[in-house]
Order: sequence, then C-alpha cells, then structure tokens
Amino acid sequence: MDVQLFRIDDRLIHGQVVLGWARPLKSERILLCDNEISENAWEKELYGTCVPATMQTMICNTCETADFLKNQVKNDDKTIVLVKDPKAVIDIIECGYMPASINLGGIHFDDHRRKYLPYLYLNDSEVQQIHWLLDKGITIYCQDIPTSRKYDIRQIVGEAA
Amino acid sequence: MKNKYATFILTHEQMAICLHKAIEKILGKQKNIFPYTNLVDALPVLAKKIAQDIQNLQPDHIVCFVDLAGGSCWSLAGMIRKKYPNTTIIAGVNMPMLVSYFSNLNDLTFEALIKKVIKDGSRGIILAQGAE
Repeated sequence: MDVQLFRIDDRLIHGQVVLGWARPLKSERILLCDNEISENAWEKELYGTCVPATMQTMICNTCETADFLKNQVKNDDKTIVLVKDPKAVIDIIECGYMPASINLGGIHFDDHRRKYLPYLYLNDSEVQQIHWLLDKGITIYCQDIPTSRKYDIRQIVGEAA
Repeated sequence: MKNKYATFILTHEQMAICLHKAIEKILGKQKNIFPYTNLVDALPVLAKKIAQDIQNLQPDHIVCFVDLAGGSCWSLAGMIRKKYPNTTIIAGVNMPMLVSYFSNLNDLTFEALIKKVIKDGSRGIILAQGAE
C-alpha cells in the first residue's frame, strides 16, 4: 500500500513538510527514515521537536521502514515518509518495499552538486540513483510545496545516458 | 572582562540579511553578527560555515536567533548547540527582540540578557485595531 506522500528532502522534518504538506493532507503520522538519525538519541529528540503534538512521529532505519510500510500501512493511511536522498529509497526497496510515486521536495547545495531547480541540487551519483529508481517504474516528480509547480523528474535531469 | 558573543540570525529567504541591515540602521554597526539564509545551502554546508565563524571568534556565548521553531533553521541551530554547548537558541526572532539584545549586550549578565530579550520580544507584539 502507498502512503500519502513519500518524499526525498534533505531537511527532513521542517516547515514545508509539517505546515505545507501535512496540514492540507491532514496527515496523522510522519515517518522519518534515516539510518544515522535512528541510532542517535539527540538527533531523534531534535527532529521530534519539529512535529506538532497532534501527529505521531516515527524515526526508523531503512529496513524497519520497509517492514512497517509492507505490513502496517493500509489503503487510507495518513502517513508522510521522509528520506534525505535517493540512496535511502534504494535501500528501502532492497529491504522489500517499493513506493509507486516519489515527491522530490528538496536537496540543497553542496560542493559536488549542480543546480536543477531552486530547491534541487544533485551530484552525478544522485542523478544515476534517480535513473535507477525510474527504471524500476517509479514515478518521480519535483515539487517543494503543494501549491508550487510540479515537474516530472525526466524533464529536469533528462533521460538516462 | 566582558563576555564575547557570537550572534547568528538563521532564517528562511533573505529575512536574516534584512534583519541584520535593519538592526544596524537603528543601532549602528554591531560586532560579531552573522546572518545566514537557508535558501541554497544544505544544512551540513551551513553548519560548516557557522563552525568556521565560531572557530575564528572563540566566543564565550553563542546565540542563535531563528525564525521558526520546528523549521530547518531550528534544526540547524540544534546541530550547532550539539557541537557547541555554550549555544542558546531563541526562536521567533523579531525586531523588538534584536533591539533589546543589542541594546543590552554589554550591560547585563548573560542570563539577565536572555531573560530580557525574551520578555521584550513578546512585549513588542502589540495589537491595535478599530477606532480609538
């Protein structure tokens, strides 16, 4: 079963997610999937402070996330899943859960990334990982908030070489 | 000897830069104030730049003003606090708060300063509507 929003966003839980998406979607749960954060008490606490008390927060590693999505999620599940990069999605798929659609909501600048959109900077490996996900038949669209323009990722990064 | 402060304003869009300009328009040039926007850089990139500012300055106290608790600037400030425990984070930054902070920086103890800044930031929100 699919969740309300399966999002790649390097800022993980922040205003665009909690206010921009979760409010109109009436989400009830945020599942932050990150292997490092799930092992780190203070980071878990930090991200926990970013979620309103009305929503449930789960912070899991990639295989726990895949297990939860395979076994616990129902048709009308009001969950937002957050990962920080395309590699985490590949890890979730390798643990047995395949999302149908991915929202690419934000990956920001660092030294090896090139600009594609104001909120999207990618390095060569990330572009390759996106093509790997597209080859699996997953729909990937770029959109930072619900009211902004939606782009098919293939328009942004082109077809695989 | 006076405490040395490093003051960071961390916000969405150009708000941090504008707050910096606005405060200096009112109070004149201020020392050791560093505005950062989250617009382009990834949070680890921003954290590295801020760590460099802190290393250069070696402050007694680090104060991070952020625009929105729970936003990415809040998370960034949390990362700074983890690395530098002498960091204080104040969310909901506004002009009354910054005027209070920079006006009292050299006159109050750190604890008294933070208490006053929070109070003045709240007191600066005033409702005026309808006929007198």
